[in-house]
Amino acid sequence: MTPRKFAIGLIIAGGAMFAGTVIANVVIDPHAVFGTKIFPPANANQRFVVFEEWRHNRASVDALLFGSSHGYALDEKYLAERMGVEGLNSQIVPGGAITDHVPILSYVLRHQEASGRRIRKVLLLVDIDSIGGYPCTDVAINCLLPPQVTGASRVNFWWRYLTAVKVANWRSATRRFIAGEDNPPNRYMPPPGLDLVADAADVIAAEGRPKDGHAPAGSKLRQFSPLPVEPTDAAARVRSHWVTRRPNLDRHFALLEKFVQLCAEHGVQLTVATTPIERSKLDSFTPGDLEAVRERLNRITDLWDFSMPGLVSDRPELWIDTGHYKPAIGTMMIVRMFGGSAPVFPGFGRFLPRLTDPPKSAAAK
Amino acid sequence: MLFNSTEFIFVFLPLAVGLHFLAARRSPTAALATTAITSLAFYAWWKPPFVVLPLLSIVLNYLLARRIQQAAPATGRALLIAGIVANLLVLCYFKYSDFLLSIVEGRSPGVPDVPLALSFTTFVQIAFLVEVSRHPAPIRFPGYAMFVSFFPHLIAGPIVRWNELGPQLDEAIRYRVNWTNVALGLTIFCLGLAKKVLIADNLSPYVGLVFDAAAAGVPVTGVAAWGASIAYSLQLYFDFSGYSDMAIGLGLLFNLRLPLNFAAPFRATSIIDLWRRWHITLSRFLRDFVYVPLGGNAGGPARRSLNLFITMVLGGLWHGANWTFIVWGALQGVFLTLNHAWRSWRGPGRASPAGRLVGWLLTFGAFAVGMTFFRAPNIETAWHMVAAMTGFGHAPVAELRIADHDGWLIAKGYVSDVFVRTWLGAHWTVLASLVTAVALAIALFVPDTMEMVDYREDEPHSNWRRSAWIFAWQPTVPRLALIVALFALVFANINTFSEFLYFQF
Repeated sequence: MTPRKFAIGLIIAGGAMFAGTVIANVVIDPHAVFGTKIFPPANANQRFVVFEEWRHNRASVDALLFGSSHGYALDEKYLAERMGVEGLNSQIVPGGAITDHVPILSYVLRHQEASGRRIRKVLLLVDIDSIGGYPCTDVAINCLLPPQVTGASRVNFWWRYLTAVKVANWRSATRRFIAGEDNPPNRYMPPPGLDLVADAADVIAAEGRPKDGHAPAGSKLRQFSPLPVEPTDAAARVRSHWVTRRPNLDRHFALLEKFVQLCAEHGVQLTVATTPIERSKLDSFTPGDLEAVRERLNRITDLWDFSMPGLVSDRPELWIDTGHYKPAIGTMMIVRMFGGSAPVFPGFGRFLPRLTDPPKSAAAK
Repeated sequence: MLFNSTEFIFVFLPLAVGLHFLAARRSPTAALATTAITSLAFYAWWKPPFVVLPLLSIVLNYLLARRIQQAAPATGRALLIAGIVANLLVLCYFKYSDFLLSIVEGRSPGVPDVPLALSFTTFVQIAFLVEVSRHPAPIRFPGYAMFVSFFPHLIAGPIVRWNELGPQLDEAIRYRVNWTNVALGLTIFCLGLAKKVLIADNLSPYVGLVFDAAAAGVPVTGVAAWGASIAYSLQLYFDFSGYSDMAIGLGLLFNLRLPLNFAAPFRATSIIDLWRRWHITLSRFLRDFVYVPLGGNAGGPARRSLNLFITMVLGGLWHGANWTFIVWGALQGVFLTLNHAWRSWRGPGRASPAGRLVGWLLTFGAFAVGMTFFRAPNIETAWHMVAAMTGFGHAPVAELRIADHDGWLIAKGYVSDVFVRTWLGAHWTVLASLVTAVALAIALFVPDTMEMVDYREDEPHSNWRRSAWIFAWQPTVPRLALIVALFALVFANINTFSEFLYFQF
């Protein structure tokens, strides 16, 4: 083989890999960004997808819902009804963090005049157990924010989707395409046609519910307490997670302040709520840590707090997995915040008016 | 733009090479000017306004070089000193001003916003001015501009010399496509890319966990500290030697031969030998422009030790404005002095196999200890790591495994959770140890890129070379298939954004 043939062979092979990758990405569109829609997306960029939904429907949108996948449990239609708005756009995305929400809100508020419809209300769901960590915003390929929102180079954005080698995603999408399968329904969302009121009533009536603040004998429930429970020895040993020591905590709180400020500047009625946390997660945090984070959040804004231990956190049957609660809990959150006819656990969630007194401890900083 | 990015490989590189040879049809000068411009465009990709700095540097140093050549010897010498000082002042302003202020103000130094490649171009320019003053020969601006800005070496070396690249630019034969060079260049580029993407980048997360824990004051075990330091030594080697390989491969695409920068340094059995194999172009710059002017080894062992110490401290400082680099450089100076003292005491003669093994262990261990300072963000973190390495870390049994790479091994019963938490701690893992061991085995036993392709350029000694056996490069179909497969593997892993470690220096 001559060096010329060797070099040309290598160049052709490299070029073929590149061209094949670009073609596969455009045709299969595993991240649902090119809008090809021939194959079911395997790893959709939900940030891009929900932003595009807002862009297409913005003439009718007057309210926004922000949060992580924990927010999927809130039925959008029921929420819109209870919030008293006509068009609710959900910006709920997997791993959603304040780093996602501020750029989107800022963009939407800047461009709302063009749509002829003003945003009147916003609901922000905050996961206080994950705040301050390393969000996947603009890092993972399925978490890139739309370039018009971030101001980043559009060329870079599209180049990345064109040239990403995602064999597993291509394979997954192709298999489902061949099998004639569409994307499975989101298992965290209320199934279509679910009677939310009846669902919540079923949960309330379910065996093993807390009575008089205590779990029935023999059940898996812990003693109900609206305050943090004292950790057991076993729990104390593994309690080593700290939110207050996370590297991005100050930055995230600064963004939360900006989020609140943006709403105030544009006359938007903002509701902020913390999401429920499952017991095993609660037990992994150092005592007092989550409380310090909650207090710090409460110094920025009024707060609906659903993250306290007891009731929901201690009932495994109310959880799809350790991160996601069932739609009935989402319904109860809506009722507590905005009223409604569905039954709710007595004492579920508490409204905390914004704290204005000086912080009690340095831990809250 | 990074060498390991798709935009570089599939857009910039074909364009740059294509334009170079297209312009070369017109004239060599046009080719040189074209490549100088594309190189500056490559530089401007990061921060377009910063391209003013290399542009000014190129123009001013060129004018100064012309004046030095035309001036009387005394004036020429004065101009040369002024030129060296001016180049160093620019470097000091961007790189060291905050560090010097922090010493005066008694605070921690910040992270300076140093224009990319400034450290490397400063050395290239200084060497150029000195060589021009010693060997007056006509300098044509397009050739000189291309020499300084040539994108393969612009950002992180190899630190090229005018007397080795300049003459190549005058040879007409280099302006025609040479398929042997293209085949060889692409092969070297792919091998360097594989070193970076497949080895260095895979070591990075393991290293980061332990050093970040140490920086946060969390106790780390001795095994974790040694593991992370060795892993970082290997990460830096594969990262930087991978970059240097890619630079050499890219140079060949333009028919230019860049100097060797690494010669299997981890096979060295003495620290003197290691520094002849590690970052060779920096070592020879420091030798020619710092060590020798200081007196070199002419003044006896004591003077030599002092000169070595000063040279290595300055070499350390060149890497960054931080006490960690100064301590790292000082350590290298001490190690070299000890090594010279040992050689003087022991006398000439080849060591026994056992002696060479002990030499290798001491050399590699000393280098890894030095790398702890090189990687640590501050002196406190470095001491924290060194304390752990020397058995003074007092790390208790970890309550939890923060680095959860061993979950599968533990679940399958290959290793116990208690063992991992006791000996490796929360941040180091069995998997990290295995990956590090494999990387070390590759560094020691697999032929180096330059051995595989038998590339020899400005190689002061070649006794490090081993036979590359089946790897030896030739343009054959199986070898083409091997390189294509390697490139496919790299391409599938290239999406993760990962800068080269030496870009920060």
